[in-house]
Amino acid sequence: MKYNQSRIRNFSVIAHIDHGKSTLCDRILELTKAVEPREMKAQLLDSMDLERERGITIKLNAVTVSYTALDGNEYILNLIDTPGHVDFTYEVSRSLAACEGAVLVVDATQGVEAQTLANMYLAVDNDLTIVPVINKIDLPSASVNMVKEEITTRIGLDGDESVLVSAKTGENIREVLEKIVTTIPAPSGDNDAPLKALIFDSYYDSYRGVVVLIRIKEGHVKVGDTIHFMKTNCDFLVTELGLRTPKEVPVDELYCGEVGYLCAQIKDIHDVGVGDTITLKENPALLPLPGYRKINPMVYCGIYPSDSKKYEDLKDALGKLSLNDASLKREAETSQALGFGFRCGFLGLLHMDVIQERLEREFDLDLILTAPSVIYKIYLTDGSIIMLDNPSKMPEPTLIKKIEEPYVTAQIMTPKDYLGDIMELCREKRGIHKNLEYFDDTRMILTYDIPLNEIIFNFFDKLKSYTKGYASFDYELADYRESNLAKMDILLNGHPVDALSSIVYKPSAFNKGQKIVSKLKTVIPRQQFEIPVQAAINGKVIARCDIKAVRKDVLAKCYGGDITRKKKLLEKQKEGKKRMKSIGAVDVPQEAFMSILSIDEDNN
Amino acid sequence: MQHIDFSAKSLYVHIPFCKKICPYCDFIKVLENDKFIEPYLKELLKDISFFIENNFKFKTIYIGGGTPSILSVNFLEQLLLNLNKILDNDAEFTIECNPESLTENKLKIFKKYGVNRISIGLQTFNKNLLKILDRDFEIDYFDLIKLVKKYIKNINVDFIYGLPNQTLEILKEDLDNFIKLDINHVSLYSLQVEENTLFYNSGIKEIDSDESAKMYNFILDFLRKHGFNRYEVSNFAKKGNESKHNLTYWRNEKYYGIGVGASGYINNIRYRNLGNLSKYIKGLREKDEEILNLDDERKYFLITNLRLEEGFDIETYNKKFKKDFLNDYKNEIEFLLLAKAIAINNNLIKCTDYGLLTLNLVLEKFI
Repeated sequence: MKYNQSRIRNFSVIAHIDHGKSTLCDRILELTKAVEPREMKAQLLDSMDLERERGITIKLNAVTVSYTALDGNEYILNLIDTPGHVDFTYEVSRSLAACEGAVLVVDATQGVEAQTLANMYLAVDNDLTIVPVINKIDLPSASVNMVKEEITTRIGLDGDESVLVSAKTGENIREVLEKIVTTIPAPSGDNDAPLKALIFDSYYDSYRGVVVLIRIKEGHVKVGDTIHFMKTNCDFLVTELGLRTPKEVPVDELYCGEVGYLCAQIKDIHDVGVGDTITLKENPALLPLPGYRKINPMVYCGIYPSDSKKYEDLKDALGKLSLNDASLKREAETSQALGFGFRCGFLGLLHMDVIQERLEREFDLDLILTAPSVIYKIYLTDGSIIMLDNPSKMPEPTLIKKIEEPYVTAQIMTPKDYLGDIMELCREKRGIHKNLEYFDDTRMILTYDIPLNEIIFNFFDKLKSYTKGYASFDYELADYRESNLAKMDILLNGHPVDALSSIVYKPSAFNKGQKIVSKLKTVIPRQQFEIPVQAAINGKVIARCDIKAVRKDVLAKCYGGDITRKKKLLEKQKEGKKRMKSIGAVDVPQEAFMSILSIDEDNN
Repeated sequence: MQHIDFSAKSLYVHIPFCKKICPYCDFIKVLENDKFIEPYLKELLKDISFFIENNFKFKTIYIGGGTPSILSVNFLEQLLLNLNKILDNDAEFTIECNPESLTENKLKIFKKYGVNRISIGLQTFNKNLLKILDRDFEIDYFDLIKLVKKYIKNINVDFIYGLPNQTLEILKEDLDNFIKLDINHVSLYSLQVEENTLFYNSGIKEIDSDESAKMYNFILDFLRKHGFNRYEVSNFAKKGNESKHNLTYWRNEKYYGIGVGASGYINNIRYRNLGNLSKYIKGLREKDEEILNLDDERKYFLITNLRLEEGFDIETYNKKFKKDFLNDYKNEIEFLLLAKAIAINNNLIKCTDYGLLTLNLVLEKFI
C-alpha cells in the first residue's frame, strides 16, 4: 500500500443498536480481503468475548484495509467501528473525531430510531460526510421506500441516495465502498507541517507497553522519532509504528491522514490521555488539536470483593480496566457492611454491567455491587454544596436546605399504539412531559424530562416490555432540579446496613420500602433466629418484614457411610457462607445488595 | 489385605440382597439371586476369617442390608457361626430383618449363635402408605413382634415419617401402635429422597422443612411422654436400651465394615467398600479411602458427637485435638447460645432440642 493522501478515506459506521453495523464491517473486511475466509468469525471487530456474546460493540475498534475502486485506483480505507448503545455515546464521538465521513446504517425493517438520530447529530457536529445505508433489505418485512422517506424527511439527507444492502447476504457491499470512495473527502492536512496526531484509543500490552491508536492530522512520524504528548507533557522514543489490517503490520512511517498504532515503551497508561495530541520533540506544533470533552459518569455504585482479602486484586483489576476506559471512574471507599472497596462511576447501566462482567471474567473476581446511584446535589444550611454519589454518606436531614437531582431529556420514539402506555410509564417515573410530535404516519416522538434515577431503575426494560420492543429511546443530561428526596435506610436485625441505603422520592418511599423489605426476605436465607427487616426514613420505620427462623435442617439418618458425605456437605455449605457478608449476625448473600435494582421486575 | 486396628470394637456386615427394591432406599442392594448369594457369602467368610485369625473380639456386630433375613437358614447358620467366633462376651449382636422374610426357624438360628438384638423395618402401620412404599406385606406386625420376643428381647423398629400424603393423624396412629408393641427402641427417619431411587425418579419431593419440624416435635413430645429418651437425632430408647453399635458411629469410635458398600473407620482412615458385587465375588476388594488429618478427625468428632443428646465433653475435645474449644469459637458459641441452639453445662456441650433440629447450622460454625 503506497501512501497517497488523496486516496485515503477515514470513516466510521454509526447506527442504532442492532441495526447491523458490526455485520456490515465484517462484510467490508471480507470484500477487501483483509481477512482470509478461514479466519473470519462473526463480528470480527468485536474482540472482547463479552461483545461477541452480547452482540454489542463496546470499545471502538479501528482497521485499515485497501480497496481497488471501479476507477482503477487503490484506496486506503480506515474503518472505525462504533458502539450503538446510549451508554457509549462518548466512544462514538471519539471515533468520529478521527474521521472525515460516516456510514449511517438504518435497518430497513425498523427505520430511523432514537439513536440513529443521536449518532447522526454527533456526526454532523463533527462536520462529517454521511453515507446513508439501508440494511437488511433481504428481510420480508423490509420497507425500503418508507425508510428512504424517513432518511429524507427526518435526517435531511437524500434518502434516494441511500445504498441498499444486506450485510447478512453481502448484497451491494461494493456499492457502499464506492460511495465511500466517491463522496467522503480525502483527509486534509499538510504532510510537511509539524506533527499533530490525535490519540483516539489506547490499550496496554504486556510486551510493548501502551499501544496508542492515532490519526495523523498534520505532518508525519517515523520510528526513532522523539515524540511529545502535549497535554501530559511527556516525551517518548517511537519504537514501533503500524497499521491494523486487522493484523498488525509494522511500518517505518505514518503519514498525514493515516490511522495506525504507535508504541514507545510507555509504561504508564496515564501518560497517554485519549484526546491528547502527539507532536514531535523537535519542531513541535504550536497548538494541540481540540481533543474531546471530558466525560462525566452518570451512575455510581460500590464495588466490593466478596472475599475481603481480594481487595488488592480488585484494585489492580480496576486499574487495568481503566487503562483502556477513560470513562470508568473509581475511588476507594469503605463500607461498614462490605469492608474495603471502590465507588465507581459509569456512563450508564450497561457500562456498569460490562465492567462487572469483565472484572469477574477476565480477573476471576467474585464481587458485590451495591445498587447504582446518581449524583445528588445537596445544599447545606451553612451555604455549602456537596455532590453526593453514595447515599449512605447523606448528611443529617437537619443540615440540609434542599436536594437536587439530575434530570435527563429523554426522546422516545414509539408506534402510536403504545402512546398511552408510555405516557403512563413516564408519569410513574416522575417524567415531565415536554413535547409530542408525529415522526411519520405511525410513529410519535415523545420528549420528557425524567429524573436520571428513574431511568436507571428498569426504565428501559419496562419501555421495551410495554411496547413489545418497538419503542426506542435516547437521552442526554439536562440539568439539576430540586426534588422531595430522603435517604431510606435498611435495617437488618436492628442494624442499619450502609450498603443498602438509597435515596428515594418521598411520596413513593412507603411503597418502595415495602418492596425492598419483601425482596430481601426472599434473598436472605433463614437463620436460627427471626430477623426483622426494616426500611426507615429519618429513624422512622416505614416498612417491615420478618424472616422466620429455620425450623429444621438436619438429615434424619447418619450411619457410617453417611458421615463422610455429611462432612463434604457441611464443608460445601460453609464455603457458600463464606461468600456471604455477615451483618449484625445475619448472613447476607451477594444478590441482596443488588436487590433494590430488581424490585420493580416482580410487578411485571 | 486389611489394615489392622485393634482399637476397633465394632464390625458392620453388609448383606446386599433384597426380594424387591424399596422406592426410597439408596443403600447398596441387588435383587435376590441364588447365583450370587452363595459366592458372596463365601467371600464374606474370607473377610471374617481375617478377624478370626487375628483374634478379634468385637463388642458389637451389626448385620445390615439390603435384607439379611432374606438368607436361607443354611446360609444364615454359616454366617452366624463364623461371626460368633469373633464376638466378645456380653457383646451386642444385631441383625436387620424384614417382616416378610423373618421366620421362627431363623429366629431360632439367631438365638443359637448369640444374636441378641433385632432391628425390623416396619416404616409405618398405615396400609395406604405401605402401598406407596411397596411394602404391603400380608403380615400382622403385632403377631410378628410377639413371635420375635419369644427368642430375642432387644428389639428395634424403624419408622419413616414425612411420606407423601402422611398427616399428623397417621403419624400419631403409628406412634400409638408402636407403644402397643411394647418394645424398648425405635428409630424414626424423615423421608429423604435420594438420587437414583424410584421416589426421586418419579418426582416425589420431601416435605417442607417447617412441616417436617412439626412432625418431628410431635414425635419427640409423644415418645418422651411414654418414657423414651432421644439419645440421637432419630433414635429413641428406654433407659439402658440404646444401640451400642450405632453409638460407636456417633461417638466417632473405630469400626470395621465388610461386604459391598460397607464403610469403616480404622486408624486414621475412613473407607467405603465399593458397591460392585461381581468384583467382590471375584475376590477384589476395592474401596474409597479418606486419610484423615487431625482437623478432619476433629470435624468428624463434631459431626458425630453433636448428634447425641448427651453432646460431648469439651476437655476431651481439647486434649484430643490440642485445641481450646470455648476460646477458638468464642463468637460462634455466643451466637449459638443466643439462638438457644446449644447448651453448655459443667464443660459438657450439647445441642438443645432446637439445636438438634438445626444441626447443620450448628455444625457449620465449627467446621
